Amino acid sequence: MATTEKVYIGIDNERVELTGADLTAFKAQRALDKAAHDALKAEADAKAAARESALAKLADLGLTEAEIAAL
Amino acid sequence: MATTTPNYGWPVPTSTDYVKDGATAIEALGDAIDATVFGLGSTGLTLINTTTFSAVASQAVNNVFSATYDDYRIMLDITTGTSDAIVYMKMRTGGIDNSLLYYYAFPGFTSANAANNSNSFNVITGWDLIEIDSATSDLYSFNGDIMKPFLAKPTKLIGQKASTTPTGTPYAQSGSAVHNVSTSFPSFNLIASAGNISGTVKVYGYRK
Repeated sequence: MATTEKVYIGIDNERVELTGADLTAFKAQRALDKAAHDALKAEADAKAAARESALAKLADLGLTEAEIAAL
Repeated sequence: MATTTPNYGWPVPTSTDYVKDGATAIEALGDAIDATVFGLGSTGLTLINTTTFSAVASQAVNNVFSATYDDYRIMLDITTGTSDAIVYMKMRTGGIDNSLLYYYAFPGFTSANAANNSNSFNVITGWDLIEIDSATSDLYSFNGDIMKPFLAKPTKLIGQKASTTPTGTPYAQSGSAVHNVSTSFPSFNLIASAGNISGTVKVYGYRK
């Protein structure tokens, strides 16, 4: 959404344009939500990648899937 | 001799019963039907609210949770999003969204290759309900039970979602979530992380 585009929110059955301080607060909270989500997602993705890498290295050492699972 | 109906077992007279007993038979039948219908009204789901929204950055659904019900079903259907985005759900009271202490674990798979596509978040600002690809439409639904939002206890969410990745690959997730805040919430808000969304959300109450 372009910064100049108007922002509308729904409140029950009404559609309301956000302006002034309400618009500023909405954008700030949206940015906070996105930052929090992106940070946690990156952390989770990094953990998953590290696990996949570790499993691959164990397999390269000759361990079977059952042996890796038993660790 | 009176007999009973095949499905609900309501008492009905037979053709050999005396006509003089007809009033009593009708009374017995009426009482049985009354008891059955009354019972149907005290169980199951009751539609509380349907909200249809179009081209909004967020959609608040106010005052749908109350002391009438403890547990609820939410059926969210997103038709379109103008940006690749995530739709968050936040609990809400007094017109203010609560952004604290949401926990979330939804294991899942993509449809294309059964690759793992799971999300789990520890202490985040809202629940991720649906992920949207702006290039596709009508692929996004969340269907779940929200437990005890109106009680001043943590709220739980258990459900399933149909979503797509930002590149349009469909995926499914099923899981549960907690909002670990012991506050009564009569309302909730659906917030797109970017752009606008259109769709419908229905709230049902589970009769106690």
